[in-house]
Amino acid sequence: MSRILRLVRLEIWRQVIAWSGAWWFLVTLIIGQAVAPLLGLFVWFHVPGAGAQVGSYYLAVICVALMTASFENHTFAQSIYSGDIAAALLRPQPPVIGPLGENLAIRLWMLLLGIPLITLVGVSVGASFSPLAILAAVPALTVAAALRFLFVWTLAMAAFWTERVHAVVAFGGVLIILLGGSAAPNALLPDPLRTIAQILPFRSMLGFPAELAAGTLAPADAAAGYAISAFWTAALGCCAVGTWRLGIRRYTTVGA
Amino acid sequence: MRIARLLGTAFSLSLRRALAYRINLLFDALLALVELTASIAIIGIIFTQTGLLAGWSQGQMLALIGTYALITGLRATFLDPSLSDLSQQIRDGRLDTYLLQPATTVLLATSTRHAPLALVQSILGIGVIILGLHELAIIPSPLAVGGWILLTLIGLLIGWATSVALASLAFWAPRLSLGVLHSAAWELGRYPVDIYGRWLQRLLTFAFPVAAITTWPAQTLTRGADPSILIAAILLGFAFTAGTMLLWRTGVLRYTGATS
Amino acid sequence: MTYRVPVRDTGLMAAARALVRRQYRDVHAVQNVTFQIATGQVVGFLGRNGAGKTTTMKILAGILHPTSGRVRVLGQVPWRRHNHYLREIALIRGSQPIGDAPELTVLDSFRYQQVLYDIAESQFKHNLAELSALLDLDSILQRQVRALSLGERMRAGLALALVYRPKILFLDEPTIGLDISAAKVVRTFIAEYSAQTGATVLLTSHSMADVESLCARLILVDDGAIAFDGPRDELRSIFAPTKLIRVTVADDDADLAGCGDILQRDGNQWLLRVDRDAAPAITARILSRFAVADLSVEEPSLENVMDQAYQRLRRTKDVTS
Repeated sequence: MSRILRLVRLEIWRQVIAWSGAWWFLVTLIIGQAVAPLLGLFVWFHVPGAGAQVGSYYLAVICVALMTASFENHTFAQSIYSGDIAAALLRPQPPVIGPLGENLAIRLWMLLLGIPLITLVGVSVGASFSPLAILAAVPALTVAAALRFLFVWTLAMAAFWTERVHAVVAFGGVLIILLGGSAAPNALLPDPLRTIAQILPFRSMLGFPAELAAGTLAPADAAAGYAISAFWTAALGCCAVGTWRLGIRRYTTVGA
Repeated sequence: MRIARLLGTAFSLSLRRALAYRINLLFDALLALVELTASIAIIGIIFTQTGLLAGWSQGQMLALIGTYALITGLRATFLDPSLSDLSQQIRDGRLDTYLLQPATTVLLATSTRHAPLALVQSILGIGVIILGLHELAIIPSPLAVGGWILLTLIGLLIGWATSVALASLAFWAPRLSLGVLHSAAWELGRYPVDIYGRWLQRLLTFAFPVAAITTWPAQTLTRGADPSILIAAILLGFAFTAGTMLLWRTGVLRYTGATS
Repeated sequence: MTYRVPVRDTGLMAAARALVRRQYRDVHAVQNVTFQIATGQVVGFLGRNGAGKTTTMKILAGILHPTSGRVRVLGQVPWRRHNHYLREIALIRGSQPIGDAPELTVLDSFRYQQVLYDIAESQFKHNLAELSALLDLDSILQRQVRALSLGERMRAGLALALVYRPKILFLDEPTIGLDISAAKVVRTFIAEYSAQTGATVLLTSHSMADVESLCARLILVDDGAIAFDGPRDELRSIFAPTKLIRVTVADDDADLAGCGDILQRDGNQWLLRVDRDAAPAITARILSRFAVADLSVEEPSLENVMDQAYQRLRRTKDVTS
């Protein structure tokens, strides 16, 4: 286990260095991630019934978005298309380490380079968080990071079967924006939709940690949210492993 | 006239290319449908909580979202395929090919590759506009429709001009790619500029005129033509096109002076 | 043609300084290049890598404008890129014979060229038929560009560039990467096209087979200046003023050492290098003095000539700088 951890740490370090030259590109990634929550912020600021905490909530959404952003449709799927994945398969380590390390490195950079944006939004909306709420949100954030990675990585594995992986991942992105808490905070969704969004995994990837941080959740709802998050992490984990096995079987029999 | 024939030929060729991939056709159509459904759903969600959004009713918002889809579809069809790697072409010297072809270089380089399938989005957008007008229970006057068409075209022109201007910067700073920035700013057109703060609103009217791209056309269609808006849009369209052409010319002069 | 390139010393401090104040150095890519080409000539434009060939060719085509000097092609200033000028020229690169759109069929691309260059339908059909026959295109017209081999791509690229009957062809490495027979097809075609239409051709190539079979006149550029301009054979006599004599003598003990530089000896076979002017006299002497079974006098290959020319140019450059 300690060897695996060391390998992950090395891979993250390697990728942090590899991405250090691309700061301009990273800035554009940050803006791309922040646009949808910012739009939500502008819209709900104009709705009187949205509540006082909507500014803090959306600031937290932006932070969560930057720390959980996943681009496996670009990085991992590209390695399938270009054939680079063949080299990764020959390494004596779990194949998830490569994508995982790159994913975490990109998130680190995005958070670092996103600090000016976060500060600007925070000052403009006059956001305020209680330390206890933030503490309650940290585990949810970790789960969200894992969930989002598993989700996008699994979708990106569609590259084993089709060339349209961007469309597949874009489809998933629409669901995250609509039901995950970016278009509207979960509490503001109309009724059947709100329950559906609570049960599906997308809120756990984005909105749930932000709601905890903004302190808008009752303890019972928070506990229910954690239970749903844990369930989906296990489910998507199994999904990812299963899809990986099927995909690799296909790749090694058909691919060159 | 020859330019029109040239673009027509380019479109028909692109259509043939696109039809070679039937699965992609399905995917793209489906994605366009899902994205538009999601935007309509978001409008629906917002209006369960409020009757007016910064002075816009639900029907007017639908007309705006429809116009946004229409214009984004047109852009994706006729401009994006060329614009998406224009700065790349400037960097790696592929622009040479266009320089040596006997037609206006900027048009060849920015508008001769097309993605016909993206038109699905535009068609769906028109459907949403009709839905919005139905919701409002109005039939716009011919003047309003005329103004809307004119403003939409100007919006497309401004979209083209701003993209080309950003890509032209590659003549001076080859590694700078502002395309993502442009699409992020373009996203702001999903909502009327009235929802943004005052300084941002000014920025979105004069510096990057998202206002002219979606807010004004939708406003004209649903509330009638306002001469001052029409004049402002024409002036903005003219100013942006002229500025872009100037930038492009200077850039090409530099390009032809300093590549190897 | 002068470029400004940023320069800096090595080391971190120098890098930091360069961020604040950049220093530039002027690089002359092409300097003092003067030549004229008459209508219908096929001219080889040669030089080492980085000698300024491609830059000069881009200036002539109109992609680059010179910082100083005067360029006229067909009586026009190329870099103004007037449409009527662009319709008279074609720049063809062996490295990228066909532009984008690999999903289109070759015929689709032809149709686009027709609109782009405003070719009347009857003229278009006539030109296409002629090119198809010369380049054997019938089998590839209906295929997608991405499915073509490099040789097929080059043939299609040539035909696409010539369907509007340009009067001037700029060929940049037209046979690079092609196998021997594909290269031969391209060469034969270029020669035929130029003979038939009277087109002027300027060709750069590192393949001496191209140069030998196409270009009677050669221009050699080096370090941005012209090092030689004249008939191909004159280049030989200047840069390789020697000939090779290959002799087989009947007597194993014969000694030809006094006749010239011995390049090779294999039993009773000898290969000698002698001065060009002295070759007839030496041949006569060998024939009179030894029992000769076989004798031939050979020109050094163009490849050898070019090699010697480049080496000599490098030496003179080292001396002057």
